[in-house]
Amino acid sequence: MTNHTPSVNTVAPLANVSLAVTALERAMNRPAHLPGMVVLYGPSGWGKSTAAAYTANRHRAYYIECKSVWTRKATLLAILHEMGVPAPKTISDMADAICAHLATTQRPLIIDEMDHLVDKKAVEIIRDIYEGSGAPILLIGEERLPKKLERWERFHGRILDFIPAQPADQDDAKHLAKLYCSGLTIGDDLVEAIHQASKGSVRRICVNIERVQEEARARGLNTISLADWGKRDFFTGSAPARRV
Amino acid sequence: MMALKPIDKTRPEERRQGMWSAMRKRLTFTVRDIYWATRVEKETVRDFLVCLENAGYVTCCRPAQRGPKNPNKYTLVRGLELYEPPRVRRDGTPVTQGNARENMWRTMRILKEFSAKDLAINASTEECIVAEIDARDYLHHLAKAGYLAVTRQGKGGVTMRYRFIQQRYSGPKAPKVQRVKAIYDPNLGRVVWTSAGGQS
Repeated sequence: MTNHTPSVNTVAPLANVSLAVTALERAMNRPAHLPGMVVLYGPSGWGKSTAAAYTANRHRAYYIECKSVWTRKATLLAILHEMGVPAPKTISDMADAICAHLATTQRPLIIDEMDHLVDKKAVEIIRDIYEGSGAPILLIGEERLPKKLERWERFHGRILDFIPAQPADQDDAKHLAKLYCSGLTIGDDLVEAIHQASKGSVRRICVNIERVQEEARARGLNTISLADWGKRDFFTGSAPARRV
Repeated sequence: MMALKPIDKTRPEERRQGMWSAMRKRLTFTVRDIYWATRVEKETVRDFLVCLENAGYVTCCRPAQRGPKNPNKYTLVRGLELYEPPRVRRDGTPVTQGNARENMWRTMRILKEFSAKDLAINASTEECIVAEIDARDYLHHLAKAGYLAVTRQGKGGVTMRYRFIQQRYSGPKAPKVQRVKAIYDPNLGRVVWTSAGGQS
């Protein structure tokens, strides 16, 4: 499905969410001669997980999050577990089972924290799965992921698109405020201040909106503006400054 | 009408998955073929075929004089590539029950630490909007069954927060809260919590 009408009740209108969905859909509907893997990369807290969750739910994708200790076998076992397929004995049988399942179900695969696999040199196993199944794969990782992947030339060539995640903008902050606050209106000036303090991080915006909400609830307000909030602190993610 | 068996009492082969696999293997079949392959009651097979026919997955060739020697012949025309049976009602419309739970179950693992509101927002798509109250109810039950740990107690104006316990992730199917006040995990194929006996 390529046509969506972003609803006000979902995270779909957020910049990074629509980037991720569009990219994966392009890989799903690609012509046969184009590669089918896409990479979404960016600093932590910029809403990559939110994008992953929405994309996974929309297309019933399989999702795994890699850990730094994962070997090739652990990676395959995790994917099989996520699919609900009993694990065969050998590594090559495992890879075959994954390919067969992906090819028959035609569901995409999302691999989060891909950096760990690159560091562990388990990259080739993902390429095997891709080659064996033709399934569209969305890889998610930190800012340096594209650079790291360059070393694996055979892998690099199978990427359809590298998509840099965007910092949360004003509209994202506004949309999040609307999503999270039922029965409370946050003034535009306060949303602007939250956006400024959060420095592009979706996670921090959410934390700050929650603080505002708790404050409003405690004072029994149903609209809250920057004047009501006053000089209170926002969560900025920097370590607390010592006041002596 | 007989009461529906609780899901942990039915064998997996009795369910639609079994029938669907048998149909995919044959492509053209009769009710009897599916009955012999799966031992699912013929009436149940017929019910499923009505759903599939109305949804356009199978077509039916009805002989002028139907009899034991001239049964209806069904042909699978759509969904050949689907491993899981299509979830459709008798009138052919898609079943939406359970989609919200599936989305929530998937989203919990991705978010790791969340409130009911976080979960409802992140699990919603255009096709399936998850209400916060549903998320709250589901989380409440999953926490009892030990899938979640409470990271912040909710009291007064403070919202309750949970952490998903990754080791308890049993597979892709969402645990079901049964009417008899018990939680059934379809990945493990057993009841994992009852209101009387607690976690098992």
